[in-house]
Amino acid sequence: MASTNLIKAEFAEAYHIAWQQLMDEGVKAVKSNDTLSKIKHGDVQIAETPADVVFRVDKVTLSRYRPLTKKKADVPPVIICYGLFGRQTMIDLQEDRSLVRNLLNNGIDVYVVDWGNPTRADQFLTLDDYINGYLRDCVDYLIDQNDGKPISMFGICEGGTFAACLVALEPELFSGLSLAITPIDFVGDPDNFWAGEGFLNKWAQNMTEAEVNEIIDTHGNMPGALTGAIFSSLTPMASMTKYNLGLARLEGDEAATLNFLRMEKWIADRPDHPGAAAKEWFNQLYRENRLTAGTFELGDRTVNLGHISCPVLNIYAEQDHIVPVSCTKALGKYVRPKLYREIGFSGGHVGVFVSRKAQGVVASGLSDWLKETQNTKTK
Amino acid sequence: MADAKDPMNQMFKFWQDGQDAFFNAQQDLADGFAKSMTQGFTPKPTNMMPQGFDAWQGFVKAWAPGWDPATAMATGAADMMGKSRDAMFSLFDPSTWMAQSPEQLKTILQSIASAPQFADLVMPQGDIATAWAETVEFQEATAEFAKIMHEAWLRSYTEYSKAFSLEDLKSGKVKQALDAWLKIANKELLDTQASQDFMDAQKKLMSTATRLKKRQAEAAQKWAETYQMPTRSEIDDLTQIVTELRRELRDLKRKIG
Repeated sequence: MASTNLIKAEFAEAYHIAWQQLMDEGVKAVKSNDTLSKIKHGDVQIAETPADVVFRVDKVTLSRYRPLTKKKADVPPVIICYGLFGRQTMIDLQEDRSLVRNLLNNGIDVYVVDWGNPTRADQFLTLDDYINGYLRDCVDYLIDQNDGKPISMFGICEGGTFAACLVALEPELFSGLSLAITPIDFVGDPDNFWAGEGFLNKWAQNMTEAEVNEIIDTHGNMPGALTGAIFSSLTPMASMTKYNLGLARLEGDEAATLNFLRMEKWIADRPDHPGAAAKEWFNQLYRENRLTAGTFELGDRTVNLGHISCPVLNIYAEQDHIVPVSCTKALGKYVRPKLYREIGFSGGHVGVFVSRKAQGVVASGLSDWLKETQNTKTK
Repeated sequence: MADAKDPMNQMFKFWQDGQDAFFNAQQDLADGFAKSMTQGFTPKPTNMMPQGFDAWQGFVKAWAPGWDPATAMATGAADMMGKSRDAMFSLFDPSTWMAQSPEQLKTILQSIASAPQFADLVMPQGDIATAWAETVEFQEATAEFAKIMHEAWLRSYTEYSKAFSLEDLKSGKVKQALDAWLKIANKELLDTQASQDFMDAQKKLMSTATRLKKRQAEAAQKWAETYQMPTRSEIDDLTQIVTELRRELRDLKRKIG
């Protein structure tokens, strides 16, 4: 007890000195506050690349981005499928950090699926409804627009799992499959996880099916606030200090502050995950790992990843604390080696899309891969 | 004049007396509670419902002259009633509040919640007691979770004091000191989150919070039923039907297309 008190006292003194010195050099924080006070709500906009809704089913919409260049790449249209835990707006955070703009600047025809804003009215929608229903509807529309020819699918995170399942079930509809930060094996390699990696996997696997169901049934859906809190807890100190120390360290840089606020806007916009689909996601995939076991069923069909027969690009983040590398790289076991390629990005889960260096590595890598593997002129 | 021995009149009298007894009991309960709050007074259970009990006895005798409710109540049932009743008065006695450990309080609340629910009048107390017991469980879970986090912070302080001394701070290495603190605390918190103790405590916290939320939903459902409003479960039923219809429609469209 005495040593604990000593530690507390020493820590308190250290803390006091640290803050005193910080106050002495508090110009940075004052500058940040000044910058923040000048930024208006309307200044913080995300997903501003112009797009038009071209197809709609229930709450789900498919939008086509307007071209940014006259050049046209000889590749099939690309449909982007994000997951239900967040918003697809992350792929177009701001002008200089936009995967969408990078693809458009390369002359690629880009479409994006928006799942809408699920409410209790959507609580009985299953993964089958989302994958074989809504996503398939969007794909059918786009294939129709593409004169009946296959299209290219790009799935992100949970949306990547959706994309992989649909491509495995309907391989003839797709010319290529690209995935980013996508869980395939929901157990991965826990013996070799680094500190903080795979927490979500362990967390879900520590629950029983009844416990998962009780939470979801009580709320109707998996609340976005709950999943947001879990994601925040994966980077505890960064989450706790971003609004004080993090902001102060921006030293009032307007561009950096706006970038920070745009990220916060994206993070805060976390929809509820439809209940029935969330139960399947956590129970059948996270807890029972059915996808790699070959027992995951959608409707009356079993998903066999070995049926994927198009070129595959798998992008993973080496410091991904949400989807461990081993969970995403597992896809390589199911696709013929000559069709399979990977890009390992040195960064975290979201950094794949929003960091500056990702614009070169990921966006350019994806564009190059599309042109190389799905060139419509050479096929 | 109506015949006082007529069973129907006995029944009407019972209803009337019962209603009076209910209102009187409410009054007594409120008075007793107010006194107990201000004067440390413990209301006595014997004064609670004599009028209602007499009326009930009269009614039973009119319909079943061979059965003596007083004798029945004096045996096993009385014991059961007495326990719940005593528990309830203990609940309203502030002098006992501080002395109750959560476990004892939980037992008392449980005994009230599982009291014989032969009359609608008993139900609200039962519901409140159940909700209270669940609140106590939630508070226990919160305390357990907080203890684990508190220990994690203590370990962080210990590690930090080893890695960075007061002298380092005095020399002006504030940024390094803060960075060291963030790194050490982050690692400690991540290690804690990965531990089974944390996982179990967090699960218990979520589970008890979920039960409270469920109780809240049940209360809202009862309220809606009382006022002839559509309940959440009825709307959920409709939602499910609509979802299934949309699914069938989609399948049919595909078959036709």
